[in-house]
Amino acid sequence: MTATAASSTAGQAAATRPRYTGGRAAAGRRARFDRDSRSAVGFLSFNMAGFALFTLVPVVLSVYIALFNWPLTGGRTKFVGLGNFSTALSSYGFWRIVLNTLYFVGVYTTLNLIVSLALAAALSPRVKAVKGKAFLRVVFFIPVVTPLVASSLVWSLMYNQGGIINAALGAVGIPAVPWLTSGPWAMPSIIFMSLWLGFGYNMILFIAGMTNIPDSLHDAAAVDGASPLRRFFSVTIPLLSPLIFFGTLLTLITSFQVFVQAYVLTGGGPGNASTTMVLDLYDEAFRYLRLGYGSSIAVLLAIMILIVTAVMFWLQKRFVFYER
Amino acid sequence: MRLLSKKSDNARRHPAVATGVAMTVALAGSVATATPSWASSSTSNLTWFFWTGSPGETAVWQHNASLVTQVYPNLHVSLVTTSFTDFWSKLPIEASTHSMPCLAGLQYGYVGADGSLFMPLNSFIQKYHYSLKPFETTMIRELSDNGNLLALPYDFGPVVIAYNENLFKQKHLALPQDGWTWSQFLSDAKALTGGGTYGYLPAVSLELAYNLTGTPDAYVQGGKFNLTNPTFEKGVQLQAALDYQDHVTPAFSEAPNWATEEFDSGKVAMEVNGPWSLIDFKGLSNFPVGWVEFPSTASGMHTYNEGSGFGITKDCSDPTAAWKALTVLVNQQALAYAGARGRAFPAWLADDDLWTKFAGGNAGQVMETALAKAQPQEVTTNWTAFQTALTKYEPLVLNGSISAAKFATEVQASSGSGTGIAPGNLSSLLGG
Repeated sequence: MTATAASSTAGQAAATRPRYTGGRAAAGRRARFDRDSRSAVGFLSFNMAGFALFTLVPVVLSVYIALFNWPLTGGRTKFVGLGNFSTALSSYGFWRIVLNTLYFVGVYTTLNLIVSLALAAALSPRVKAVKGKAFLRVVFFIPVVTPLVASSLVWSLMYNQGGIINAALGAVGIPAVPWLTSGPWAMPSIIFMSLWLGFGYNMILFIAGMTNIPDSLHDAAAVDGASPLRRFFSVTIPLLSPLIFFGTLLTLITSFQVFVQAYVLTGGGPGNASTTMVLDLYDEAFRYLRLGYGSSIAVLLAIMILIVTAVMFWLQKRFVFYER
Repeated sequence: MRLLSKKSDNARRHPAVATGVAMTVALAGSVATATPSWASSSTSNLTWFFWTGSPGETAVWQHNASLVTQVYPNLHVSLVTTSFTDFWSKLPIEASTHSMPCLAGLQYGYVGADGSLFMPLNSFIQKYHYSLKPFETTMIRELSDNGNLLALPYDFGPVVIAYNENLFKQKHLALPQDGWTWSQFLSDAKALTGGGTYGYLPAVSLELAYNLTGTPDAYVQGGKFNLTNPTFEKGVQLQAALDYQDHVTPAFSEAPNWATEEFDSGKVAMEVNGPWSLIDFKGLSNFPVGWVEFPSTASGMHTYNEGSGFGITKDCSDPTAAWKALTVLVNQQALAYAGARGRAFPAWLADDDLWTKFAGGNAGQVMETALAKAQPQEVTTNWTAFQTALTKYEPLVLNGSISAAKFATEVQASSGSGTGIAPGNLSSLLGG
C-alpha cells in the first residue's frame, strides 16, 4: 500500500468517525451490543451444545475413565490413577503399534500431499493441454464420498491372492504377492488403498486455491523468464501455502485416527504388522472389554495429535505465506 | 456356519460396520419396545440375538422362533442375526448399555469371556422341574461355569475332517476311512494337490493340534493359560508345515469368506470342520461331502466335542417369558427341524438321526465314532483375546515367517492372562 493511499484511507476514516454525542449514544451502542450478543449466543447455542455434549463431555469422560480399571460389562471399577498409562507404555507390542501409526501417518500424509498437489496442478484451469478436466476431477473425488467399509471390502478382494492385482502382475510374469498376509506388505497395502481413497479431497482444495492465484503473477514471472516448474515452486506453492497447511493438518489428524481400512483389510495383522493405535484401543475396549485401558490409549493418541498440531502451527509461522 | 474354536475361516474381516450400526439401532429399538409382563394376558415380544452365516441358516432359526408363538400364542420372538465374529463384539457393547436382547446364543468357547452376561438357568430348571436328561451331557458341562448352567444346548458334535469326494475320485484315491493315519493324510494331501486343486485348507486348528499331540488343553495347564509349552508348539508346527513346507494348501488369504469358498467351490479337498456346517455344504457346494475322523498318530485319535446353546441375558426384563421361549427353541421339535436341515447335530439326542439321514452315507457312523473319543475342550477367561491373537499370527506361522515357538510366544503375549473355566458341580441339575 502506497503512502498516498494510506493517507487517503486515514482521511476517509476521520471524516466518517462519529462525533462524541454523550451518554445516550454510548447506551445505544451497549444496547445494540447486548442485542447482537444475545443473537450470537442464540445462533451459537445449538452448535455449542452439540460440541459440549458430543465432543467435550466424551473427551473429559474418556480421560476420567482412563484413570480406572473399568470393565465394559459390569464388574467393579477401581481407581488406578496413571496405572493404565504405565501399563500401556510398558505393554508388549505397544511401541510397535505406535510405530505402525507413525509409519502410516508419515508415509500416507507425504504421499497424499504429493499426489494431490501434482494432480491439482495438472487439473487446474491454468493448464490448457489436459482435456476433460471436470470429468477427471469428479472421478478422482468419487472415492472420497464412497463408503469406507464398502471400499475396503472391495480392496480386500482386489488384494486377495487370486485378486485382480495379482492377476495383473501375473500377466506380466510377476509372481503373486501376499499383500495382506505378509508382514512387510500389509501396511503399504493399507497406505495405498487409503491414498486412493483420500487424495481427492486435498486435490479439490488445492485446485480451488490455484484458481484464486492471479494470472498476472504467473504472467509476470513468465515474462521474467521463469520456467513452468520454477513458477510452480516460486509462485503457486507460496501462495497456496495456507491451504497446504490446512490440508496437511487435516490429513495428519485424520491419518492418526486410521481404523476402518486396517480393521477390514487385515484386522491389524499379520501379527501386529498393521495394528494402529485406534484399532488397538477398539480391541481393548470393545473386544476385550477393558474400557479404562482402551481409554488410556485414546488419551495417549490425543496427546500425540496435540503435539503434532502444535508443531505444525509453529512451523506455519516459518513456512506459510499469508498475503497481506 | 462353520463354528470352530479357532475361527480361522471366512467372515472375520467383513464385519460390515455400517450394518453393525443398523443392527445396534434395531436391537436397541427392539429392547426398548419389548412388552414384558409374561404373567398378564398381553403379548410379550422378545428379541433373540444369534449368529448366522447364510440365509439358509437364518431361515432355520426363523422357523424355530415361530414355534414359540405356536406353543405360547402371546409370546413372540424376533430373530436378529449377525456374523459369528461380530456377535461377540456386539453383545458386550449391548451389555455395557444394559440393552442386551432377552435371548442370545452362547458358544462353549465364550463361556469364560462372556458367560457373565447370561443369567444362570439353575433356578428356572428347579422351579419348573425342567429335565436335562434328553440333552447331551458334555454340552451341559461346556455351557456351565462354576455350577451355573448359562445356556441350554442346541447342538454339539466332534470336530472332524470334511472332504470333497469328487476330488478323491478324480485323483483315483480311496476315500479316507476312520482309522486312517497321519501319513495317509499327508500322502493324500500331496496327491490331491495339483492342477488347480489343493489337499488341505491352511489353518491353525486347536482341535487338530490336540489330535497331533494327544494332549488335551495343551494351552491351559494347571488352570492357567499357557501356550509356550512344547506340546502346543508341536501341534502348531505340524500344521504349519503343511503350508510352508509341504505346499499342500493354497496361499492363506484374509479375504471375506475365503476359506468357505475355497472348499465349497471344490478347489480344496479337505478341511477341519464339524456337523454344524452340513447345511452350507448342501446348499453351497455341488459335490458330495464326506466325513472322516482326524487321522490317528502314535497316540491314537483325539478330538474335541464342541457346541452351542441359547441363554437368557442379564438385561432381560421378562426372564420368565424368556425361559418359556427358551424351552421351545431347544425342544425336540425345534431341534429336529435344525437337525433335519443340517444346521445342527441336535443336542437333543433323540433328534440326531435326522441329521444323519440328511447327511447320508456313513456320516452318522463317523460322528458316533468320533464322539466316543471326543473330550470337552477347556476354555479360558481370555478366550476372545486368544482367538484374536491366533487369527492375527496365523498367516505368519503358516507361511513360515515365524516358527511355531515364536508363534506361541507372540500369541501368549497378545492374549494377556487368563484362567481355565470349570463347569463345577452340576449334580443338582443332572440328577446326581
